[in-house]
Amino acid sequence: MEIFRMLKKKIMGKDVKIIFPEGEEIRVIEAAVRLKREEIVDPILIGRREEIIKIAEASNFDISNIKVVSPDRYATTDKLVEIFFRKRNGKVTMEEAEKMVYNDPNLFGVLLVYTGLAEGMISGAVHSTADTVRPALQVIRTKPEYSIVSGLMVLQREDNVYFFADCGININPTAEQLAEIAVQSDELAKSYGFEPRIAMLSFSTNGSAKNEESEKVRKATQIVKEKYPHIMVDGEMQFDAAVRPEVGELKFPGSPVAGKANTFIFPTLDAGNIGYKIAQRLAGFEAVGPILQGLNAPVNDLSRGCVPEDIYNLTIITAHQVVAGGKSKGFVDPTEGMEPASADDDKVLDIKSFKEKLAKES
Amino acid sequence: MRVMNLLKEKILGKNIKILFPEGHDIRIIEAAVQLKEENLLEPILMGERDEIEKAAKKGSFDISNIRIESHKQCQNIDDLAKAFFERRKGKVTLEEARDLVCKDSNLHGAMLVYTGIADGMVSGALHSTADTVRPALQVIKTNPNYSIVSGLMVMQKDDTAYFFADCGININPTAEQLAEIAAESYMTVKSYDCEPRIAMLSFSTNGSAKSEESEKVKKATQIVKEKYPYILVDGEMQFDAAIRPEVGELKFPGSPVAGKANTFIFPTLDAGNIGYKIAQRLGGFNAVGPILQGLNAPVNDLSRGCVPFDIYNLAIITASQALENGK
Repeated sequence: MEIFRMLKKKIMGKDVKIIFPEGEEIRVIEAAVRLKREEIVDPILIGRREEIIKIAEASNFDISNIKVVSPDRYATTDKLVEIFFRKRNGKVTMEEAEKMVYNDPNLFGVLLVYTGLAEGMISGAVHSTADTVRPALQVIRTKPEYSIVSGLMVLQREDNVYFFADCGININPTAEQLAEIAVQSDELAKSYGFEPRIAMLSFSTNGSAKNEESEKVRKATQIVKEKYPHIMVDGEMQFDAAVRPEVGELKFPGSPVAGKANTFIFPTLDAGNIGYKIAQRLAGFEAVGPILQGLNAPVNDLSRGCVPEDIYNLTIITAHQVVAGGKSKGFVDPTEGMEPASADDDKVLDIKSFKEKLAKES
Repeated sequence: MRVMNLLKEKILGKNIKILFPEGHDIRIIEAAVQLKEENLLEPILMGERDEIEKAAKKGSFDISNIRIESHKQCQNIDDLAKAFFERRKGKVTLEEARDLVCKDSNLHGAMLVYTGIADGMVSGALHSTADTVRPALQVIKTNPNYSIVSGLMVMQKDDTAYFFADCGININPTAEQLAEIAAESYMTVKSYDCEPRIAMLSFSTNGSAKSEESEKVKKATQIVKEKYPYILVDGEMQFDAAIRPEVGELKFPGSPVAGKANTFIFPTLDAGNIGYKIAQRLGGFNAVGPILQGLNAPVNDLSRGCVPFDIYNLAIITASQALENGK
């Protein structure tokens, strides 16, 4: 896919640190090895070192230069527990927090992102979307200007690139939430070098039907226009009015978007999820995502049927979100008395020295 | 389009009477002339004779052998007005009934279908969907098996035909209504000599997400299975699980539908309308419809941007529905 070549260029050699909570999964190991070899990112695997080495060696992957971290051996896990405990603000006891941080690699992973050891995270090859996204929402949280996270799909066929959202998270967004999804998608599509022209989709075009559902989309469009006058957006409109110039001109005359939209905001998750799968399965579009947007640091969710190539691609996207969002050094609140943990922490062993150590011990 | 050729064969020479309330529209006239010429059906143009003849002449169409009915100078207006008055059961006075039947060409047309003068009706080249469908609901009414009318799209590309519903009428159907849409679609697809395998679509597959929205689709699937055990239906499922064998097998093992569905019931009108337009505009599928299903006699709604070929196709579909109804 053309877009990956462009994104790769932007992240090459920047050593963006991406954490993989499913480090004992062979597909994740295979992707990490390739990402490291091609110097695209600096992958960090979460898991038991012995296990990861065993799995990698069984498939002849050399992971000697890849970092591995596990909650049991990480020097500051107890500090992470404390951070999580405080972050949950009384919703969990200290004891529960400890159990969770040690046992849930996704939670451990987002805490590492939160404290700056890594800059982004990819999970979901084994975990459900909910299990992947929940810790991110609890710890990393949405950017101050947003209240929700949404999932954008990049659809590409030859020279045609379209952006569809929300295809993965919000079941029935309100007008205000739809407006947020549009703004998040504008930001992401821009970061890919596109000039977003956003169509707010409905079964109705420009008031052709009057009802609660189309009114919601109309209202969302108004909110975007008022809050962000620089964003090119229009709606509510049907898909043909959004994408075909002759229909757009007829049904939505004078609109800067109708007939030439490249970014499509769906009114419900049903419409977005079914819609992108129709484009993918009946129209031959290649689909990448959903890319989660709206978080303070990027976390992305794989599908459980993913192959190493999917993980490789999603990592590129995640690293690009880091670079586009301004590579941060972690965003621990100084009042919490924490220094960002360092990746050079001597307990974050790379495999090579660990193996040497093992050899010495035996 | 293969489905269309099949339907043409079925209706050829059967003289099914299809009424066009927008008889003076040049696109309607062109389609009617072709339908008559090919002996596919018996078109009836409704409107003022001189107006229709003028329009036909302007387009150089010979309509000498096409039947014209005037609603304004209708000879049975008293009978039709009385029948409408009775049908509406006290919702209009006889005087109002007479006035309405006289003025509203769609209502007049629906009355002609109701009283058996025509077998079906095609309108909407100049009227809104609401104006086309309302009289049909009031007069022709839904089939006793159903409580709602729904709109099915026939999507065809090369040798592949898919059926999408509801793409035009019900904004947010309940589980019971979704089940009806599936049952209605089953009948329509069957009449096209296809074996319907119905996927009830959602953003969730087989309980992968728990929510009101996916529960509705799951419940609708159960209703169809219980009421119509012979219908091949499954759900709730995502579009890829419905259409791709490898995904269907993984996410919905053992389903007779997953991975090989040809009929897709969408959970909301937003999903159905946006969905069919994506298949049409991005997937290059030829889209015919929406075909209204569930009425006692077929009435179909054109889009206002239609061309004569769309009218020609929808008339053929309408005639085939009339034939299915036992005309």
